[in-house]
Amino acid sequence: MFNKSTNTQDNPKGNVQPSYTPSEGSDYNQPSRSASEPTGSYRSSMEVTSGSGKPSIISEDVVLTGNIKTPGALHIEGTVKGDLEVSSLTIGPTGLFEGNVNCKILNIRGKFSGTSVCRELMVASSAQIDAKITYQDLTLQRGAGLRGELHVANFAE
Amino acid sequence: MEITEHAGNIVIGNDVSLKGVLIVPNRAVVNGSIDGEITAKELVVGQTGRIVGHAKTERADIHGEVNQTLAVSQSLILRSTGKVTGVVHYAELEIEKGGLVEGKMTQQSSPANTQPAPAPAPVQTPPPAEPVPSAEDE
Repeated sequence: MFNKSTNTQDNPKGNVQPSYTPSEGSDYNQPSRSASEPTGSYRSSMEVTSGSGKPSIISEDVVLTGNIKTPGALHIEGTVKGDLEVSSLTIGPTGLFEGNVNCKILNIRGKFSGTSVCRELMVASSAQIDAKITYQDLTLQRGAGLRGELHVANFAE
Repeated sequence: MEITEHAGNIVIGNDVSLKGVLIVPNRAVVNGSIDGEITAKELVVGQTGRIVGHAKTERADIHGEVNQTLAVSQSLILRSTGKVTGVVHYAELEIEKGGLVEGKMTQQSSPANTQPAPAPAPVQTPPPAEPVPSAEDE
């Protein structure tokens, strides 16, 4: 599928989509969207844990450009640009991710733009997405913004 | 007969298939299949319902299948059995787990009316099957 080859080696700096100009501090860092928002009911039916059982967390004030590969879970509350290969990615309400992600579970509560191939796609009402996503299973809460292209795939396993 | 006799509604029953252009002032319930265009204020596609062509509505509740174009100026709810392929315009969207979307999604920020329609003049070609009694006769 698309973007499976456009990963780490070809793009070492992770400088994807330079057209984006982050309006830092004003846009993604809204104090009204706190991480303690009640999102407990919005959980995946198949939780993924890393070897240590804990997700890697990019917290709110962090801006990261680069590629991440982990067999475990990644939680983004800050800003990440690059390519990710993780088993489970959560973009929190304050999180912003721009790039390509290949994962089993993609849980979006913040902003996402780019492309993704995932099995389970969950979009919360606070999410804003502009992306090309290939998925197998989709849930979208009322109010979420989803623009782009969607494709359905059937992943064996 | 449970066909609602209120003016402006249409119910397309199971196994009914229709080709043509439908303009429904109120609510359209589609349990059969439509090949063509449908414009309705409220569009409900049942589990057995299927639309191929252009569907334009203010509110849509999709349990069945819509192919090609679906333009919803207000809220679009895709149920777990629903499937939409093609181009989707919406203002507010909800997808239940199991619902499938394949194609392009575009969002209008406000519930404004979607412009790209055929001529708004009532070019209604009466379809061969007419399951709706016209309420005006009564």
